[in-house]
Amino acid sequence: MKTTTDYRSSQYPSFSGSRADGPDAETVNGLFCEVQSAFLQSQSLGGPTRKSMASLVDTLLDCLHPDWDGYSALPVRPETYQNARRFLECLGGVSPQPSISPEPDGEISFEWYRAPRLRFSVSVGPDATLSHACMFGTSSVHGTETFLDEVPVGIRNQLDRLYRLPV
Amino acid sequence: MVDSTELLARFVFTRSHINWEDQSRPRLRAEAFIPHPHLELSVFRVHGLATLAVRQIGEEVSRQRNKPLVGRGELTAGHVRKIGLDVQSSEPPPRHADIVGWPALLGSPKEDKSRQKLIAMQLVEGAQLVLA
Repeated sequence: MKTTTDYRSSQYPSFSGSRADGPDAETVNGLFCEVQSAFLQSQSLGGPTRKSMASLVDTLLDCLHPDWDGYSALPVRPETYQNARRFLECLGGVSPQPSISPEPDGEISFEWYRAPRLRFSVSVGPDATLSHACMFGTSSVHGTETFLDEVPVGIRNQLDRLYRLPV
Repeated sequence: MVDSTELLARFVFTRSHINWEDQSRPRLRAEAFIPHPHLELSVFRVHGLATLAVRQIGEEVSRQRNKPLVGRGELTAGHVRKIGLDVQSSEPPPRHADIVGWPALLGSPKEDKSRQKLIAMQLVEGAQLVLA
Protein backbone atom coordinates (compact mmCIF):
# COMPACT_ATOMS: atom_id res chain seq x y z
CA MET A 1 0.00 0.00 0.00
CA LYS A 2 1.15 3.54 -0.57
CA THR A 3 0.10 6.56 1.36
CA THR A 4 -1.80 9.56 0.09
CA THR A 5 -3.08 12.78 1.56
CA ASP A 6 -6.68 11.85 0.73
CA TYR A 7 -8.64 11.09 3.85
CA ARG A 8 -11.10 8.22 4.01
CA SER A 9 -13.29 8.76 7.01
CA SER A 10 -14.62 6.07 9.30
CA GLN A 11 -17.90 5.92 11.17
CA TYR A 12 -16.96 2.87 13.16
CA PRO A 13 -16.32 3.44 16.86
CA SER A 14 -12.69 3.45 17.95
CA PHE A 15 -11.38 3.36 14.39
CA SER A 16 -9.96 6.48 12.85
CA GLY A 17 -9.91 7.20 9.11
CA SER A 18 -7.28 6.05 6.67
CA ARG A 19 -4.98 7.68 4.16
CA ALA A 20 -3.97 4.39 2.52
CA ASP A 21 -4.32 3.92 -1.24
CA GLY A 22 -4.03 1.05 -3.78
CA PRO A 23 -5.90 -2.21 -4.54
CA ASP A 24 -5.41 -3.69 -1.07
CA ALA A 25 -6.62 -0.50 0.53
CA GLU A 26 -9.68 -0.53 -1.76
CA THR A 27 -10.55 -4.08 -0.67
CA VAL A 28 -10.08 -3.30 3.00
CA ASN A 29 -12.07 -0.12 2.63
CA GLY A 30 -14.94 -1.99 0.95
CA LEU A 31 -15.12 -4.49 3.80
CA PHE A 32 -14.86 -1.68 6.29
CA CYS A 33 -17.75 0.17 4.68
CA GLU A 34 -19.91 -2.94 5.07
CA VAL A 35 -19.10 -3.05 8.77
CA GLN A 36 -19.78 0.65 9.11
CA SER A 37 -23.09 0.30 7.36
CA ALA A 38 -24.13 -2.61 9.59
CA PHE A 39 -23.07 -0.63 12.63
CA LEU A 40 -25.11 2.40 11.67
CA GLN A 41 -28.18 0.31 10.85
CA SER A 42 -28.09 -1.34 14.25
CA GLN A 43 -30.61 0.32 16.55
CA SER A 44 -28.63 -0.20 19.75
CA LEU A 45 -25.18 0.64 18.37
CA GLY A 46 -25.84 2.95 15.46
CA GLY A 47 -28.97 4.71 16.72
CA PRO A 48 -27.21 7.32 18.87
CA THR A 49 -24.64 8.04 16.16
CA ARG A 50 -27.37 8.45 13.53
CA LYS A 51 -29.19 10.84 15.83
CA SER A 52 -26.04 12.92 16.34
CA MET A 53 -25.36 13.02 12.60
CA ALA A 54 -28.91 14.24 12.01
CA SER A 55 -28.46 16.89 14.69
CA LEU A 56 -25.26 18.04 13.01
CA VAL A 57 -27.03 18.42 9.66
CA ASP A 58 -29.81 20.40 11.38
CA THR A 59 -27.19 22.69 12.92
CA LEU A 60 -25.66 23.35 9.51
CA LEU A 61 -29.02 24.06 7.88
CA ASP A 62 -30.14 26.34 10.72
CA CYS A 63 -26.97 28.43 10.57
CA LEU A 64 -26.08 28.73 6.89
CA HIS A 65 -26.76 32.46 6.86
CA PRO A 66 -25.13 35.31 8.83
CA ASP A 67 -26.88 36.66 11.93
CA TRP A 68 -28.73 33.42 12.63
CA ASP A 69 -28.75 34.29 16.35
CA GLY A 70 -29.86 37.92 16.05
CA TYR A 71 -26.49 39.08 17.44
CA SER A 72 -24.45 39.12 14.18
CA ALA A 73 -23.31 35.48 14.36
CA LEU A 74 -21.18 34.12 11.54
CA PRO A 75 -22.60 31.31 9.39
CA VAL A 76 -21.40 27.73 9.81
CA ARG A 77 -19.07 27.05 6.89
CA PRO A 78 -19.03 23.75 4.98
CA GLU A 79 -15.42 23.15 6.12
CA THR A 80 -16.56 23.47 9.73
CA TYR A 81 -19.38 20.99 9.11
CA GLN A 82 -16.94 18.53 7.51
CA ASN A 83 -14.54 18.78 10.45
CA ALA A 84 -17.39 18.43 12.92
CA ARG A 85 -18.66 15.35 11.10
CA ARG A 86 -15.19 13.84 11.11
CA PHE A 87 -14.88 14.58 14.84
CA LEU A 88 -18.19 12.85 15.46
CA GLU A 89 -17.12 9.88 13.35
CA CYS A 90 -13.91 9.57 15.32
CA LEU A 91 -15.86 9.66 18.58
CA GLY A 92 -17.99 6.78 17.32
CA GLY A 93 -20.20 5.07 19.85
CA VAL A 94 -17.49 4.75 22.47
CA SER A 95 -18.36 7.76 24.60
CA PRO A 96 -21.83 9.11 25.43
CA GLN A 97 -23.16 11.13 22.52
CA PRO A 98 -22.70 14.89 22.93
CA SER A 99 -25.32 17.51 22.27
CA ILE A 100 -24.50 19.67 19.26
CA SER A 101 -24.90 23.42 18.99
CA PRO A 102 -23.71 26.26 16.74
CA GLU A 103 -21.55 29.01 18.19
CA PRO A 104 -21.73 32.73 17.30
CA ASP A 105 -18.32 32.62 15.58
CA GLY A 106 -19.55 29.91 13.19
CA GLU A 107 -17.91 26.99 14.98
CA ILE A 108 -19.82 23.93 16.18
CA SER A 109 -19.87 22.92 19.81
CA PHE A 110 -20.06 19.37 21.20
CA GLU A 111 -21.17 19.30 24.82
CA TRP A 112 -21.25 16.50 27.35
CA TYR A 113 -23.41 17.55 30.27
CA ARG A 114 -23.99 15.74 33.55
CA ALA A 115 -24.83 18.59 35.96
CA PRO A 116 -24.51 22.40 36.06
CA ARG A 117 -20.92 22.11 37.28
CA LEU A 118 -20.06 18.89 35.47
CA ARG A 119 -19.82 19.66 31.80
CA PHE A 120 -17.31 19.54 28.97
CA SER A 121 -17.50 21.39 25.68
CA VAL A 122 -15.35 21.14 22.54
CA SER A 123 -15.51 23.61 19.64
CA VAL A 124 -14.74 22.50 16.11
CA GLY A 125 -14.00 25.09 13.44
CA PRO A 126 -12.78 25.19 9.85
CA ASP A 127 -9.18 24.37 10.83
CA ALA A 128 -7.50 21.60 12.83
CA THR A 129 -7.48 23.32 16.22
CA LEU A 130 -10.10 22.43 18.82
CA SER A 131 -10.96 24.78 21.69
CA HIS A 132 -12.31 23.16 24.81
CA ALA A 133 -13.48 24.08 28.28
CA CYS A 134 -14.66 21.95 31.17
CA MET A 135 -16.08 22.35 34.62
CA PHE A 136 -15.41 19.54 37.07
CA GLY A 137 -17.10 20.60 40.28
CA THR A 138 -14.93 23.30 41.82
CA SER A 139 -12.14 23.01 39.25
CA SER A 140 -12.15 24.09 35.64
CA VAL A 141 -9.87 23.69 32.65
CA HIS A 142 -9.67 25.27 29.21
CA GLY A 143 -7.27 24.95 26.30
CA THR A 144 -6.71 23.82 22.74
CA GLU A 145 -5.86 20.54 21.01
CA THR A 146 -4.90 19.64 17.45
CA PHE A 147 -7.37 17.40 15.65
CA LEU A 148 -6.06 15.32 12.76
CA ASP A 149 -7.41 11.79 12.26
CA GLU A 150 -8.19 10.88 15.86
CA VAL A 151 -9.86 12.44 18.85
CA PRO A 152 -6.90 13.97 20.74
CA VAL A 153 -5.82 12.12 23.89
CA GLY A 154 -6.32 15.31 25.90
CA ILE A 155 -10.01 15.39 24.91
CA ARG A 156 -10.50 11.69 25.70
CA ASN A 157 -8.86 12.17 29.10
CA GLN A 158 -11.22 15.03 29.98
CA LEU A 159 -14.19 12.93 28.90
CA ASP A 160 -13.03 10.02 31.05
CA ARG A 161 -12.63 12.38 33.97
CA LEU A 162 -16.11 13.84 33.46
CA TYR A 163 -17.78 10.43 33.59
CA ARG A 164 -15.73 9.16 36.52
CA LEU A 165 -16.89 11.94 38.84
CA PRO A 166 -20.01 11.42 40.97
CA VAL A 167 -22.92 13.73 40.19
CA MET B 1 -23.96 51.82 38.53
CA VAL B 2 -25.67 48.45 38.26
CA ASP B 3 -26.35 46.97 41.69
CA SER B 4 -25.27 43.38 42.27
CA THR B 5 -28.82 42.41 43.26
CA GLU B 6 -30.20 43.51 39.89
CA LEU B 7 -31.67 40.92 37.58
CA LEU B 8 -30.39 40.86 33.98
CA ALA B 9 -31.91 39.23 30.93
CA ARG B 10 -30.08 37.90 27.89
CA PHE B 11 -32.67 37.47 25.16
CA VAL B 12 -32.42 34.39 22.95
CA PHE B 13 -33.52 34.50 19.31
CA THR B 14 -32.56 31.01 18.15
CA ARG B 15 -33.78 27.61 19.29
CA SER B 16 -30.25 26.36 18.73
CA HIS B 17 -29.11 28.00 21.97
CA ILE B 18 -31.48 25.92 24.04
CA ASN B 19 -30.98 22.23 24.70
CA TRP B 20 -34.34 20.53 24.06
CA GLU B 21 -33.24 16.92 24.69
CA ASP B 22 -35.37 16.77 27.83
CA GLN B 23 -38.54 18.41 26.56
CA SER B 24 -39.90 18.79 30.07
CA ARG B 25 -36.79 20.65 31.22
CA PRO B 26 -35.16 22.58 28.36
CA ARG B 27 -31.79 23.99 29.28
CA LEU B 28 -30.01 27.16 28.19
CA ARG B 29 -26.72 26.50 26.42
CA ALA B 30 -23.49 28.32 27.23
CA GLU B 31 -23.25 29.40 23.57
CA ALA B 32 -25.97 31.97 24.29
CA PHE B 33 -23.45 33.82 26.47
CA ILE B 34 -20.48 33.95 24.09
CA PRO B 35 -19.99 37.64 23.22
CA HIS B 36 -18.87 37.25 19.58
CA PRO B 37 -18.31 39.46 17.57
CA HIS B 38 -17.80 42.00 20.37
CA LEU B 39 -16.14 41.89 23.75
CA GLU B 40 -19.37 42.98 25.42
CA LEU B 41 -22.44 40.83 25.96
CA SER B 42 -25.73 42.61 25.43
CA VAL B 43 -28.28 42.27 28.27
CA PHE B 44 -31.23 44.19 29.69
CA ARG B 45 -31.75 45.28 33.30
CA VAL B 46 -35.14 43.87 34.22
CA HIS B 47 -35.09 44.06 37.99
CA GLY B 48 -38.48 44.89 39.44
CA LEU B 49 -40.33 44.49 36.16
CA ALA B 50 -43.36 42.23 35.83
CA THR B 51 -42.95 39.19 33.56
CA LEU B 52 -45.13 40.80 30.91
CA ALA B 53 -42.99 43.95 30.86
CA VAL B 54 -39.80 41.90 30.45
CA ARG B 55 -41.40 40.00 27.62
CA GLN B 56 -42.40 43.27 25.95
CA ILE B 57 -38.76 44.40 25.97
CA GLY B 58 -37.76 41.08 24.40
CA GLU B 59 -40.43 41.37 21.74
CA GLU B 60 -39.34 44.88 20.88
CA VAL B 61 -35.72 43.73 20.45
CA SER B 62 -37.00 40.75 18.47
CA ARG B 63 -38.92 43.06 16.14
CA GLN B 64 -35.87 45.29 15.61
CA ARG B 65 -33.64 42.32 14.85
CA ASN B 66 -36.28 40.54 12.78
CA LYS B 67 -35.79 37.31 14.72
CA PRO B 68 -38.35 35.33 16.71
CA LEU B 69 -38.08 35.64 20.48
CA VAL B 70 -37.42 32.16 21.89
CA GLY B 71 -36.73 32.98 25.51
CA ARG B 72 -34.27 34.61 27.86
CA GLY B 73 -31.63 33.73 30.37
CA GLU B 74 -31.99 35.58 33.66
CA LEU B 75 -29.07 36.06 36.00
CA THR B 76 -28.00 38.58 38.63
CA ALA B 77 -25.29 41.19 38.26
CA GLY B 78 -23.79 39.67 41.41
CA HIS B 79 -23.28 36.34 39.64
CA VAL B 80 -21.59 38.14 36.75
CA ARG B 81 -19.21 39.91 39.15
CA LYS B 82 -18.51 36.72 41.09
CA ILE B 83 -16.83 35.25 38.04
CA GLY B 84 -14.72 38.33 37.39
CA LEU B 85 -16.81 40.25 34.84
CA ASP B 86 -18.75 43.45 35.32
CA VAL B 87 -22.03 45.02 34.19
CA GLN B 88 -22.20 48.54 32.78
CA SER B 89 -25.25 50.49 31.78
CA SER B 90 -25.25 51.11 28.03
CA GLU B 91 -28.31 53.12 27.02
CA PRO B 92 -30.00 53.65 24.61
CA PRO B 93 -32.13 51.63 24.34
CA PRO B 94 -33.60 52.06 27.82
CA ARG B 95 -32.46 49.46 30.37
CA HIS B 96 -29.75 48.15 28.06
CA ALA B 97 -26.44 47.09 29.63
CA ASP B 98 -23.29 45.25 28.66
CA ILE B 99 -21.47 42.46 30.46
CA VAL B 100 -17.87 43.62 30.15
CA GLY B 101 -14.44 42.59 31.35
CA TRP B 102 -14.02 39.62 29.04
CA PRO B 103 -10.39 38.62 28.68
CA ALA B 104 -8.64 40.73 26.06
CA LEU B 105 -7.88 38.96 22.84
CA LEU B 106 -4.16 38.70 23.42
CA GLY B 107 -3.26 35.08 22.92
CA SER B 108 -3.93 32.82 19.95
CA PRO B 109 -7.53 33.14 18.77
CA LYS B 110 -8.29 29.54 19.76
CA GLU B 111 -6.82 29.96 23.23
CA ASP B 112 -8.92 33.10 23.71
CA LYS B 113 -11.93 31.17 22.48
CA SER B 114 -11.45 28.45 25.08
CA ARG B 115 -11.31 31.09 27.84
CA GLN B 116 -14.53 32.63 26.56
CA LYS B 117 -16.17 29.22 26.49
CA LEU B 118 -15.30 28.61 30.12
CA ILE B 119 -16.65 32.02 31.18
CA ALA B 120 -19.84 31.41 29.19
CA MET B 121 -20.23 28.10 31.04
CA GLN B 122 -19.84 29.88 34.37
CA LEU B 123 -22.40 32.49 33.35
CA VAL B 124 -24.99 29.97 32.22
CA GLU B 125 -24.52 27.98 35.42
CA GLY B 126 -26.11 30.87 37.32
CA ALA B 127 -28.75 31.67 34.70
CA GLN B 128 -32.35 30.61 34.63
CA LEU B 129 -34.10 29.93 31.34
CA VAL B 130 -37.48 31.57 30.80
CA LEU B 131 -39.19 30.55 27.57
CA ALA B 132 -41.12 33.12 25.57
